Amino acid sequence: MRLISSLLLGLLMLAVSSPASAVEFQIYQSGYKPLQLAWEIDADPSLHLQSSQLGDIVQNDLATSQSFVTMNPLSFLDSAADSWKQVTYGDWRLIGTDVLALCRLTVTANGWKAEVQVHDPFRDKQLGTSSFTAANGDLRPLAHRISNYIYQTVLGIPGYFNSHILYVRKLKNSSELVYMDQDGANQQVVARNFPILLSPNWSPDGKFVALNAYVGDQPRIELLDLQTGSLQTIANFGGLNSTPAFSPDGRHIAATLSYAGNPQIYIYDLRTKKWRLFTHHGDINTSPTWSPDGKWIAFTSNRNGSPQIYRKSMETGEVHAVSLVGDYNTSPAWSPKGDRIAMISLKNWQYAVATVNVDGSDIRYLATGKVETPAWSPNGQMLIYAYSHQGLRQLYEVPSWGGHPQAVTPVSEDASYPAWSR
Amino acid sequence: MSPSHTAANPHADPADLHGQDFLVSLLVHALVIGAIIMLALWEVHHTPEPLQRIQVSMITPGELNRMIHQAARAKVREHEKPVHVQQKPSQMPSLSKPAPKEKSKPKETFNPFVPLESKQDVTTSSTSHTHNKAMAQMQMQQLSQQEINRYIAMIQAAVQQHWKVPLSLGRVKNPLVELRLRPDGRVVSIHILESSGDTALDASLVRAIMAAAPFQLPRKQFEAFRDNQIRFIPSVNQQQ
Repeated sequence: MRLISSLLLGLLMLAVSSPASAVEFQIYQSGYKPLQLAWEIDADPSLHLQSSQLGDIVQNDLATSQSFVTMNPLSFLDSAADSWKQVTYGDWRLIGTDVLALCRLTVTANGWKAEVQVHDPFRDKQLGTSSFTAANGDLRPLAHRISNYIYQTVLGIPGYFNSHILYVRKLKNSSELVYMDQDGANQQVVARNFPILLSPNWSPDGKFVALNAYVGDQPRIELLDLQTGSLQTIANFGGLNSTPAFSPDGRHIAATLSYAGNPQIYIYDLRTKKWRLFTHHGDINTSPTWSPDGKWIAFTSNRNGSPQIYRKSMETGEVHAVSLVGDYNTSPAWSPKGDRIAMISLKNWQYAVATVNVDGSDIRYLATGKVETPAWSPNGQMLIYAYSHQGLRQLYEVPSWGGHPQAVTPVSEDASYPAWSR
Repeated sequence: MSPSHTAANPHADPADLHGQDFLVSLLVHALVIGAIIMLALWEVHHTPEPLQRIQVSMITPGELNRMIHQAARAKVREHEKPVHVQQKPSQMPSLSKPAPKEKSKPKETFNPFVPLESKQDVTTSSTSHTHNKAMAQMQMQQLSQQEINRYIAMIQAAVQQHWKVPLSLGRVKNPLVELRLRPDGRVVSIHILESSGDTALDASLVRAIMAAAPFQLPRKQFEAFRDNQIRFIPSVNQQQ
């Protein structure tokens, strides 16, 4: 609908002719469009396997961001070796190349060296050049660094390709915590044999995970050390202990506890090891999420009848409504950029992943269906969420500005509660 | 074709074909040579007619009135200085609608076929800058607004189609771009007069224009499109 309306606007543009000789008019953006990326890699023929693997990973990274679309090398007019000598911008303009990424892979004494150049053919310009080295072994981290470099050089925003995702995999009788690269590679189980496991949350330094694990039928909040695998219980009260969330400075954890009656949000200080009450409204308050500056916490509350998102100031204690539309808005996740909050919203009897400005304006719906628990990529451009289909949940990601949802985990397993490293 | 089939009669067909080919090629050659000779002869017999031009200027009734008055005044002045505003005979339309001769016509009547006012603009050399501006002004008035809008719409559509914003931006301003064009529609220069505040977005504007060029422009009224200012409106700044 947005796209159509903006397109219509674009077609019905105002044409204003100034009294001076210059013609003046407006052009409206109609939707988001990816840049055409040409990737060329030059390497010794003996490195054919490695260079094509490197290219595949980089191109997959950039294509899944949906900010780029990779071009078919059959259309290229210049070989990688030619381009390394001299880039002929006209040849790349001819086939519509918005971004040309050149790479040269060589073997060094103790690993790999990759030189990268990024060119903008339509502006006749080299945007940047850099060189990366890696120790012998897996090329994936090297490829993700190259992807980050191209992404940042062209878009001016840091990439997220070397980030990681944690999620809960539900088996027949237990659940386990799975760790993987953002592109789904390198999966490994980091903790297993929980009767129930919910809402993992990364510490800002990426070393710890706060999670809601059950021991028997009793929910607890545990702190998992990713390096040692040790678990430390931080909340084991009567009633509910759930939805932990690390503060941006890594010192506090907000969570929902109900030992005093109604579920309320409490804040745990990792140094003093003490909990303090944060919300004290009579009804249910749950699923906290911190603003990136640490000054606000947004949460779900049914204080006005239906579940809605509110935010409360850490300093003054003032409370503002965030969700203003609809009868059901839950599962808030504050964007790392700070300007928007993602949530699950009920719209036309359908659940949807939506984002909204912090003041509640400009709600945008991104994906519908049985969706739950959205989480942001570290640069605030992607959202990952669980989508339930025929009883199994699958993780999907979607650009926060629209685009189309794409699966991250396979259909064969039940995956939920994604958490993106910061 | 299987190889056995071609092997069955290897001689008969090629020989026949050669004979026919020869005939056909002879005929074609004869035709072409004949055509060339015809054309050459026709060219000789075709005497070039004297250059005839009818200049049509779109003007409003008000301007027409003003021109008639000016013409009348010019005729009056003609009595004093007859050399100055004499019409060139070569510019007179002469074929289908013979212009009334100067002698037979009374001097105070206005001859609509003679380009009076526009003559000054059209015949002056286009090097003078001030005259260029005046010409642009004139053309802007003469080219109907509808016509201008049509060409603007074509530029808008082409640039919009090539404008790629690959992800959401934070708060940005609506950038203003100055686009200078050549008469053939190619780009002379692109200047960002007002930045959006985001270098990647500013780059996307240049890319969009370069990818959309060359533009289709009205050949005669090009002056109106020499300097263009485009205000780009990103999605984040559009009304919901």
